[in-house]
Amino acid sequence: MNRRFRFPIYLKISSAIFLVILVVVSGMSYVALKRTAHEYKQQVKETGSLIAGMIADYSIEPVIMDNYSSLRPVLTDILASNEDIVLIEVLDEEGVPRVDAVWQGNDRTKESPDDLIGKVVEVTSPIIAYSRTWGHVRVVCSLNRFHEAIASARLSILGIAVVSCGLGLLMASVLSKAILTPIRNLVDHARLLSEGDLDTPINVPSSDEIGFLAITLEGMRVGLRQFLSSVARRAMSFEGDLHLFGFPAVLSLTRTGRRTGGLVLEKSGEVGVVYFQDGEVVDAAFQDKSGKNALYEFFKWREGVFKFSPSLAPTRTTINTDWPELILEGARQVNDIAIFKHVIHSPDLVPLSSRWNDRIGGLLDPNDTLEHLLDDEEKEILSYVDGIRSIREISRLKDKDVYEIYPHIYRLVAVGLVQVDEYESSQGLGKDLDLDGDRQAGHAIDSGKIIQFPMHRVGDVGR
Amino acid sequence: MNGSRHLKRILKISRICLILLILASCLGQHVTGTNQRSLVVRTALMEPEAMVYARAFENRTGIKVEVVRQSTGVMLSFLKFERDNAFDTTIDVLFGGPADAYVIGAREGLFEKYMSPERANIARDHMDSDGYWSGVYLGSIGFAVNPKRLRALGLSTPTCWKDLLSPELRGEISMANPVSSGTGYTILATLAQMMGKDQAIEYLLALDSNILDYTRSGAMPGKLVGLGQIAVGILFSHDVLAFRQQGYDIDLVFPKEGTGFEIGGIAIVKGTKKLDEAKRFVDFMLSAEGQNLYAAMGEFRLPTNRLAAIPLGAVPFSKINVIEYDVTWAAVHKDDLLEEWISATGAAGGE
Repeated sequence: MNRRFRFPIYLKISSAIFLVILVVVSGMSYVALKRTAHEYKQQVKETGSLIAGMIADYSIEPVIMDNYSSLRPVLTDILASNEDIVLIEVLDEEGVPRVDAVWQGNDRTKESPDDLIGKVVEVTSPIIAYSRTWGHVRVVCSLNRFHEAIASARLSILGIAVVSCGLGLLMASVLSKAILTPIRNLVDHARLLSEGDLDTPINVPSSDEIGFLAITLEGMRVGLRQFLSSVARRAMSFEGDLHLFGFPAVLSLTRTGRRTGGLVLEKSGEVGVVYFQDGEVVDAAFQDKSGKNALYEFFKWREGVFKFSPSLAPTRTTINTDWPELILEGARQVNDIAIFKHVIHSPDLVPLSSRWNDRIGGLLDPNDTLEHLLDDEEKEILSYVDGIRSIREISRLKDKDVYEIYPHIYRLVAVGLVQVDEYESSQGLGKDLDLDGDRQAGHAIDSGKIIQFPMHRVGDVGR
Repeated sequence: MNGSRHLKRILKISRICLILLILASCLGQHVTGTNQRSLVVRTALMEPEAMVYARAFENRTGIKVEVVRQSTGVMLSFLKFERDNAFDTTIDVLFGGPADAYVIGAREGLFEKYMSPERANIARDHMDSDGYWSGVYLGSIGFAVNPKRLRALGLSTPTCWKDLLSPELRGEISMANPVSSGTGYTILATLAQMMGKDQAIEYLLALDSNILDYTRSGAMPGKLVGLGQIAVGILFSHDVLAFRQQGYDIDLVFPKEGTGFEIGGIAIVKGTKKLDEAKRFVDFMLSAEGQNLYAAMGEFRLPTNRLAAIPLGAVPFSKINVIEYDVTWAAVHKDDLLEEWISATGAAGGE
């Protein structure tokens, strides 16, 4: 089985749901986090501004008096009481930092200004007194705690997303399995149907559309079964068109079924009967003829219909000839190219010898006693049948017109020593049934033509 | 397998790094905690001036000095706070500010006793006989007046304490808050000693309506006068002269009724781990060399060391009506006086 691997559909649905959840959850959290970040920054900024304002008020006198150092203890106290502040700086009116307090964990000298971008919020408050700006207070607030909070929030969201995705995946796979298991059952049943199994009831317990489909399919199975039964019954009751089957084939089939009864033949209002006793021809009647003479008449029919009737039991025995001899003799009565053509559709067909075809061996006497019934010409032609040469090629070998070969081939076919058929006509059957076991048939298929006498198809139906 | 071995190696290396880091940080703390710390001087002097003395001392001795400016009242409160909470002191020397605070500090046992050899040149009245503090400078209370502003207001220069009660000076006067500032308290104690406690409080209550602002530091009113924000400031005369020296349009007036003065103190904080360095700083500031800096740097403080030069332009006590200001009385009555002043004016103080 070199089938390409395919994702089960429930996995596809689950993945789609997974993606949708992921996109929705991450999108929502992104928006929420963004908003929170903005608000937090704003709040830090406001707090920073408030503190800077307070310090600015307090700093008026020391700044005016140049007593910056007196601010240091105060700044240090403020810094120590607020973890978010990393730096408080008081600058003079020229913007020169005069006193600062730096949070111990944050050494300004170790971080370049670029490193601090995004990590801190900076606010400045002017020190205004007596209608003059004396300096500025600069407060730098760290966003570290915020970043930590955001990181933990991200982690939580990721966790929630993973859990919800997992749950979604689980639910999706459970749901899809619930939906798809009946569908798969149906598909299995349909496959069985396609493989010809009409006996397994389609029983998919479901009350929804799938159940409805199952019921419909079951109806189809029952219908098919009935139809095929009727076909089989028709085959069993054995009736049909001579044009399709050919008289020798009809006789062979009747014999194979070891039937007892009458094979009624009808053509343009003329009716004849061939009587069988346990599959052997024992009597025949047509017009005023009876026995072999009546039987041979039927060989000459180009068309007509037949029907086997078990109720027409033979009442006498007028024919007591062995089966192959009877058939061969009957076939020799035919000299109608139209009848030949029913069996041999084209001179390019390759005849196949039944001597190495096990399948039809059962039809004939297994002992190779048939050949003594053949005349020299028939024997010679049979000797040319090798599964490779076409009828046309055989005629060339015999240096005869191809139509002169037809009667011989027809006889050989009728008696079951040779088969001819078109490749196309048995292609499906050949591929499915014969490939494995029948090397010869396989060879024949490879050569492009042939296979079986039409009766096999009829016989197959009943199998 | 290879990956886990790699991981183990990384863990091992990072563990070693961590240990090294911890060791380094301990070592760093130890170093800064002992040898590298500067001598910490808290001063009531204005920072730029105090820095000059500190740098001069550094140049002379090589001892690093960290100057932190604070008002006298705040310095004392901080020392008490440290002592009451049994903290190791973070201050080594208290420098400047009226001596009544030093008297209180000595009584509270906040200072280290130190009989500096330089005390030989300092008058007995200007230092603690037990050696807990010594006087480094003298300064009298005066008025800083802005003649331009007075002219604009159509007022004449106030010449006595009474003049300050004039309703025309409403919102035109500023003085330091007696609670936080040594200057402020010197004014309060001067008036109490001149007028008697009750009259002084009464006077200050009357003055309160003319006061624009009680400043935290003693010299601030002088700056406000200099900036033309107010007409009159009450502060030490040497600060007034210093502002004048800086170019501010200020006149110095001494009240006719008489005025008080301060003895600027210096003391070593008890429990200092820099006792030797602190002693050397005290010696320096008591020495003629140290106090000569007043004149050299254009300050107008009067030196306590009789060998030191009196700055040009400074007003010696002999030329003004200076009362017999009793530092000890001022120290003893500080709490009562402040309480009464607060309850009378409704003002609060402190930094």
